[in-house]
Amino acid sequence: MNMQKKYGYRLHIILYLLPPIILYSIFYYLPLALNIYFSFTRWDYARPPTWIGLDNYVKLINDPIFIKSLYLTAFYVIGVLGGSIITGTILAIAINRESKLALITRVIMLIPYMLPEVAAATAWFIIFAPGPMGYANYIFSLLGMGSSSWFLDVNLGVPMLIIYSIWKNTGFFALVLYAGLKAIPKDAIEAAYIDGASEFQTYRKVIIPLLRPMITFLIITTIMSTWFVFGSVYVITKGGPGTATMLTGMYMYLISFGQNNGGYGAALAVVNTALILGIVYLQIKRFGVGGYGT
Amino acid sequence: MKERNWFNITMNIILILAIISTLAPIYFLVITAFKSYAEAYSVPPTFFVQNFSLEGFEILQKYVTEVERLFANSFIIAIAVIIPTIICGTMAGYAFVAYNFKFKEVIFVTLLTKYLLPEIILIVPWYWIMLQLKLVNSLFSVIVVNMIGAWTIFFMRSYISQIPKDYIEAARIDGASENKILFRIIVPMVRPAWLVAFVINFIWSWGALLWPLIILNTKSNYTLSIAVTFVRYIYGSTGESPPHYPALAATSLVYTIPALILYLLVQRSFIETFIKAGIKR
Repeated sequence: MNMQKKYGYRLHIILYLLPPIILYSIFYYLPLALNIYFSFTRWDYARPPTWIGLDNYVKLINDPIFIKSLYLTAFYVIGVLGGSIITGTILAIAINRESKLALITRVIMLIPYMLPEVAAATAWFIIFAPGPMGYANYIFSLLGMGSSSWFLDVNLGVPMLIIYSIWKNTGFFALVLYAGLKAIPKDAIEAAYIDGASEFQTYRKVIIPLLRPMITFLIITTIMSTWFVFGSVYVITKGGPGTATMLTGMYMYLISFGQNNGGYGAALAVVNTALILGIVYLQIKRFGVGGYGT
Repeated sequence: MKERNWFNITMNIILILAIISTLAPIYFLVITAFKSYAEAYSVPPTFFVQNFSLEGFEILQKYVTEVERLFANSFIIAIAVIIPTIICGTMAGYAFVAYNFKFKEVIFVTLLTKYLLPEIILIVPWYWIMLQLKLVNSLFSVIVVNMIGAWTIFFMRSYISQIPKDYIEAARIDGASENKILFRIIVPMVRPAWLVAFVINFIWSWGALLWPLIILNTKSNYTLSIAVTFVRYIYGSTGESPPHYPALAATSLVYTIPALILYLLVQRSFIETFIKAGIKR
């Protein structure tokens, strides 16, 4: 009793929080600092890193592929976010009803999210295989349209990756937004009905604005995961043809472990981390953290 | 009333479209997995398998390694990540709910940044650490960096905060120790959340590609995700030569099934708990 009084619950707080603090210090906070050090070195993993000052950063601002990857990635992130929010909201509204079909969809819609990235991307790659034996090309030819290389087409590569990611994310977005719909007080909705609003109007004017904290949550977490997308790009295009689908994550991997240029890879990581934290900071400052589970 | 009908019809069409577009890729994966190489390249493509073939699975076995081995590696990594994640995640989540202490918010946000920072920005320093620890090409190197998931701390905190504080207070008055309160009273109440945490962490670990691809470099240490990419680029490294679609589909199918079964087994309580944890009290 006295010990409890004297130390409060300090011992337990330390005991319960220490494992993640220690582990993250070694494998997250220390590496973040190491990244900055490596970004000033040349390092090919075989020999020890050698200090080269700002060379990597000078190289970086003159690297056309890096600049291109930023544009492509921004386009990709905006496309995936915008698309998934639209499809996710529509789907959330559609499953927010009492019907057998809505119940079944609630279960099935999450399947793409649950599938391993590499396997799901492979399925899409097979469907959109280039050449006349591709399923999509055949279906489109029946509709009187020409064939395409889809993912492996210089112009269609990134849009196809966007569509694939929207497909993969929609169910999860719908689930989070559906949780948001469930949390909206019933009287707010009923008041709108009493005022003579239709279902469509109620959703547009009353319900969707109330979902904003959820949408903010989705935006923050999705920016982080889509900015550095890797698995689907690696398995479908490897950044090609040429550098047509060279998104940031793919480029960082290619530099760091395709060309074994650890120093330059670290510089890319530092710059991208700073960039992404800046974007998220602005986002939080403007809209607050809000959202799921807070 | 008329408006309401239109609303329902529109919504039902959306639901049917959602179901079809969700399941279609899986259908194509399954049929392609059981085609022969020749049939996969037939023009026009066949939408039902004409000649049932296991060629794809044989290619996987021949060029990568035994499927059992790939399964075992992926499973060992997943389980070794999930167990500490759930235990430590519950302890940390509980600490944030049950106690007030200095720097609570700061510590919470600091831990949470780990969830927001993707592993790709850490691959170079991680590789350096693994070189120092002589852990390159070991399953442990994949496990250790993911051992306590930050999302689980966040999620358990959110779930535990919905349990009325009276339970904790009453137990304290009865003289129960803090460990007893956590493990005997709170833990049995958070079982549904454990299920969700298990599923989510399994899906993440099972799906991981980047770090395993970098650090595991002998075929006997490959995970299923690496096997898929290996088969993808089996005919030359550029991906420009024609891929072996049946082998690719077969590998992906083998890889997908455990994740799919796990989800379908727990789907109902998964969705319920996920929604419950997300709603503010």
